[in-house]
Amino acid sequence: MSITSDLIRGHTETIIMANLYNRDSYGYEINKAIQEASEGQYELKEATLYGAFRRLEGNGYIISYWGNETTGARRRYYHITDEGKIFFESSCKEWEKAKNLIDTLIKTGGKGNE
Amino acid sequence: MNKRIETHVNDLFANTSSDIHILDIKEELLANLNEKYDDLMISGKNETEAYALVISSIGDIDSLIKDIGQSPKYLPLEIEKNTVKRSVFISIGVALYILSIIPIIWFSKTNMPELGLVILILICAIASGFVAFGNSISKSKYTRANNTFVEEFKEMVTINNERSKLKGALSSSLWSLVVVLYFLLSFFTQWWYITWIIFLVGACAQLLILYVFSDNLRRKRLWHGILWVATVILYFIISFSFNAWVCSWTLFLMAVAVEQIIRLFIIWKSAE
Repeated sequence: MSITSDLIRGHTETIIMANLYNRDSYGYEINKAIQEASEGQYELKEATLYGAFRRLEGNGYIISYWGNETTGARRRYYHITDEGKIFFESSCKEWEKAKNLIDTLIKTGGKGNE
Repeated sequence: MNKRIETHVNDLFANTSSDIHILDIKEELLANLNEKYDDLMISGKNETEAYALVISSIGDIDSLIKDIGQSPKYLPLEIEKNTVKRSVFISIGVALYILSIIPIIWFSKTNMPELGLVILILICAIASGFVAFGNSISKSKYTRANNTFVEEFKEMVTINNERSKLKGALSSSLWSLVVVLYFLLSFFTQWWYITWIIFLVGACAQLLILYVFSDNLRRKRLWHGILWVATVILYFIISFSFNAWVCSWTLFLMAVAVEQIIRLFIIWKSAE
């Protein structure tokens, strides 16, 4: 499971942007979506999440704003920018390429072990 | 708002600076943790379980805080740039001082030796401006130590100080220049009865300098002054040139009209 969590952590930013692609969201909502989608198998730590948010914001891929909550504490919402969308699409392509490459490498390597 | 969670988060952030970015993270973390806690309670967990789950989901906040708290230090390159700028200005000033002697030597051969003296004073005035300004450039730019409101304020004050030093340097060079030009023109043309106007021109230029360096609030009052001094200058120039004293006073009526037009223009601009 450690390879998986490393892989997923490496793609945290892409995963976050996927969640923000169609609508703005905030920390806990994104985290909850990830937990539900992974059926409880993967939990993103808060610190990792915020680090990713700051990096994305520093690169101009997302912007943040405080919400006007009527009840409870105010939430920090994030919105993906146009550059963010472009970066997201190229990150997806990168992931596809890596996925296919690793598949190929493992399969050809495996043939040698037969 | 769960008290235990709040206390725990406060402890985590106990030794951090009051950097606004760090405070933002603390607030965001608190809000998210509380919402998670509420959700867990709704899904049937008891208080202890929910609290434990929430706390364990925080992760390594310390390295995050450390990353955010990185402040831009004095960049060696920037210090170098400012020192270079400073020395360039001062050297130009000194060079001009040295060069200023040349006109005296040249003009002593001609029939206008006083001109040489006047030009020397002129060059010295310009040189003084350079030296004064070069001296006032501080060696290093003030960079914020962190992102608190205190540091933002200090940065703003330093920037304002540098601007007023520049303003001062410009103003003093202006007046030495005006005096020199006055003597220059007067000796040249011998029109002593008119060349005093140059002091009005100097006043106008001084107001322009103030205008450039001041904020919008002062600018509102300044443009009136500039307009009226310019009008007086025009009045005298026209009157003396064409000896049209009988009708040149109408210039002041025109100035009143121009003032109203400018006022309306400003109102129209701010209404946009």
